[in-house]
Amino acid sequence: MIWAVGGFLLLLVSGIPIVLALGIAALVAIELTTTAPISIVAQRVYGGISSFTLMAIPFFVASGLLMEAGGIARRFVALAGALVGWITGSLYMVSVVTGTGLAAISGSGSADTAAISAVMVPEMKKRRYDIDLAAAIIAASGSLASIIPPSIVMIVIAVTANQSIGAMFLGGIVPGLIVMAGLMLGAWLFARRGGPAYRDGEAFTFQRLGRTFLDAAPGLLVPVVIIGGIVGGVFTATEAACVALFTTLVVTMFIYRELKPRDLPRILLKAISLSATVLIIISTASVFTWIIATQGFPAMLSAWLTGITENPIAFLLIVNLLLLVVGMFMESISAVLILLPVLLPIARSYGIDPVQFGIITALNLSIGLITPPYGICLYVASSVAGRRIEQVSRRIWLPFLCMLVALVLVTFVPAVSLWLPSVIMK
Amino acid sequence: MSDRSAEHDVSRVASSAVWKGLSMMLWTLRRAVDGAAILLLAYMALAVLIQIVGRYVFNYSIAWSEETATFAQIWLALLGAGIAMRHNQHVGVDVLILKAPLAVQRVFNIAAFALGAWFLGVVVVGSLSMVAIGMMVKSPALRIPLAIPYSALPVGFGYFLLEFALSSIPRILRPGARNAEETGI
Amino acid sequence: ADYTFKVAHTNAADEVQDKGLQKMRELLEEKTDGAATLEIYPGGQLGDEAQLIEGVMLGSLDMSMTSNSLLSNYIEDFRVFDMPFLFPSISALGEKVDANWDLMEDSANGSGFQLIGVFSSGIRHLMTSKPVETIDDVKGLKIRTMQNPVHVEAWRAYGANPTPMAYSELYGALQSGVVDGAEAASTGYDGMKFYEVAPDFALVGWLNMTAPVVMQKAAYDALPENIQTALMEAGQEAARWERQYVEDQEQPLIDSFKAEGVTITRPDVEPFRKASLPLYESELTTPGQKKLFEALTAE
Ligand code: NA
Ligand code: NA
Repeated sequence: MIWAVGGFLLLLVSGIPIVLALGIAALVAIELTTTAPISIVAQRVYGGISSFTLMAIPFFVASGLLMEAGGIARRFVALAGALVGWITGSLYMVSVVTGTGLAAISGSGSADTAAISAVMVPEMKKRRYDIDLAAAIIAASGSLASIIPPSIVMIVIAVTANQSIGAMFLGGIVPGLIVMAGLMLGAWLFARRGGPAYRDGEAFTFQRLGRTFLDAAPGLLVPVVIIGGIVGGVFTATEAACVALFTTLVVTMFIYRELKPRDLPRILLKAISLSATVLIIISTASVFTWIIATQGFPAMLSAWLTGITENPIAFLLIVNLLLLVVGMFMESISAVLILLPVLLPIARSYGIDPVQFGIITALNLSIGLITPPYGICLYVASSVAGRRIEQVSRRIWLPFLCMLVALVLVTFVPAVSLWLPSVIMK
Repeated sequence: MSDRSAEHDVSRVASSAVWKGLSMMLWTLRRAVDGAAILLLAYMALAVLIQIVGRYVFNYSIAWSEETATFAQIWLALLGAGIAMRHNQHVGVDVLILKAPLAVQRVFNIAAFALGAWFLGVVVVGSLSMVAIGMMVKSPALRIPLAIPYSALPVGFGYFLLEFALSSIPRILRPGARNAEETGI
Repeated sequence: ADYTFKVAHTNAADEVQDKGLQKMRELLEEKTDGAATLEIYPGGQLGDEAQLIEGVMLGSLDMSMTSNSLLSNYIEDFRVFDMPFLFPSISALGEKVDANWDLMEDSANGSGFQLIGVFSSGIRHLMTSKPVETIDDVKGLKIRTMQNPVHVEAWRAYGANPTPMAYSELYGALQSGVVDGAEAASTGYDGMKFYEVAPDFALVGWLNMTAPVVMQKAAYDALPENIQTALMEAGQEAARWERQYVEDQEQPLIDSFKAEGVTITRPDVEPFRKASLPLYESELTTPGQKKLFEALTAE
């Protein structure tokens, strides 16, 4: 365990791709601490990636790139500009609102991040926005996908904690909206002092709104098809990603006619390599997860936690810290599977509601999606923005702070997570 | 060396021919990988679409569409990892190491290459026993040998290793250079 | 302990299957005076079911407990246990298993495994969003099944439109109506709170599902004889205990569903059983499968 984490940290600063740093650290730990045959590495790499639901990632990435190349994104931005173009830092606002909207239709934060980044970043670059902050905000907006329903992480939490998935889903809505409001406020405060780049200069008119809306209408078909399909029960979230891809193709090739068949291979290849960098990290992280699980880390943790405190507030503080650190290094679903069975019985013994505890876990792990070194939304956003992790990391404090405030509220005010389920589910 | 010029010239011509052949092979390999990856993505999208259409239009779900799409995704991700390596798209933190003295950088680059190659090699070798199992075991839905998805591991990681080596060698020979290609859209 | 066996499964910690393994650990320690014990990894911590089985084959895991419908990809003869309407109850299944142990052990050995115990993962029923009173009510319903051709063909034979789908997507799919129902054990119906989104539960009992615990044959053969004996005894005793536990739990669980507002129906299962018969012919094709099938179904 110590070997794995220490080795990983040293490798991180060596400039080697993080996917290799993860793999090497796990391999060193396996060699030093177990007698398992080395084929375990290949097995886990395969296991990490063998999942139908992960398919949403390449589909949403490809559809986002096509939206951008085929003129949908440009028209969306024009419409958003007509809507909120008069607000300082409007493109940040649009990103946050789009992120929240996508969060409400998909379970995967990295796919959302990819889609928003591909649409928004080129415009922000053109208008000379601070791109590092843009990537940081988009990463945080994308990470909302695991708090705002539907959320794959929440389903795993609910199942592991033997709680109602419906209650868990409802519990995430208010914290998600708090994060959204915080991100918009934070971006506005930043943009207000940022100079003319952040002011569109065009006043709000209904004419402009109508014109941009009509122009964007065929493109709006994409979210309409996705949302309508999911809410109406036509397909699952993963299938929705696929439908989004085809709808985008039809709109960009046959309605807007901006996308030519000869552009396709280049765009698809870019989508493939972008999504592969994400998928290969998920797959390699599962080797790391295996070694942590087999080294009896969960049992050690349980003994240690019950040994140090009897105060529920101190316990929640420690758990938050622990989950934040774990979220920095580990992939969310593995973290839930390993840690929740250890932490939940202790939480219950302190009288903490399991749904609230589930939301605390989910929120911590969403924060983990935007914190280096292992933050998949941060990776995707930086990668699509063409910026380095360390450049974007310099700006991550702003969304991080918003999410931290939401976390404190969820931790110490049970009503934030429990009120909505209690009203709706009785 | 320099005084035996005739011999040197001969070997240089020969080596440049070998070099040409090798880079031709590399070019062909890369085009093949690119083509395969695009076909895989197209297959995945069609398989999922067929699943939806089958369920509604023909009231008939095809048991193997999800399975084969998942297999295609595994191949796509593992081949894609090598493609991303070629374009230097894998995320890494090199801001600290680039500030170190060149000699230190060279040592780190050599160590990183050796360790990275070790990991990738372990996956390639370790996956061979999985492929061997996969020859005998059939997939749940379509009942095709699991060796078909499993061989994505040795092939994909083998290709990843090749691209990793190709990108590491210049960095070892000339430390201090930043990644050649900025990523981005 | 001198011998610590890592055993992994994908059920949640403290679910019945996990309790069964805890029982096995207790028995094993007792029988060996603490010389041997189990280390249990629940919840898929060490991977999904296919990986657990392959971990056993490759030696990175000592034992796995998986659903038979996955294990039967590796031990072909066990395809027999995937057949619908084979045993009327869990205790009937248990009797047949105990009576034909040697034959089943041979089947497992033939594929490189040692069979340690045959646990139960419950009898599977049908949950839907409208009541199912007869087999005709199933007609045209989109029913989620596992990605197993026998399951798909069985539900096609019952008239449904079987829709294989990842388990993790099932709750949302039921809620939004992507599928009209799913087949599940009452423990799963309870644990995942599926009754929130599919409040009709038809007790068809179409599949009596087993969860065999297996070990690598070569690793087992390398153990001293006293440990081997203790493992086999502990495994089979724990399995008997667990099967009884699952059976005893069934009625109280169904009663608790009524309290949650679930409509329980009991359709006539005879038409379901009849529709399943052709599967025995089409799916069990090898001599090993036929031999095990005959032994398990002999009066
Ligand atoms: Na979501
Ligand atoms: Na992180």
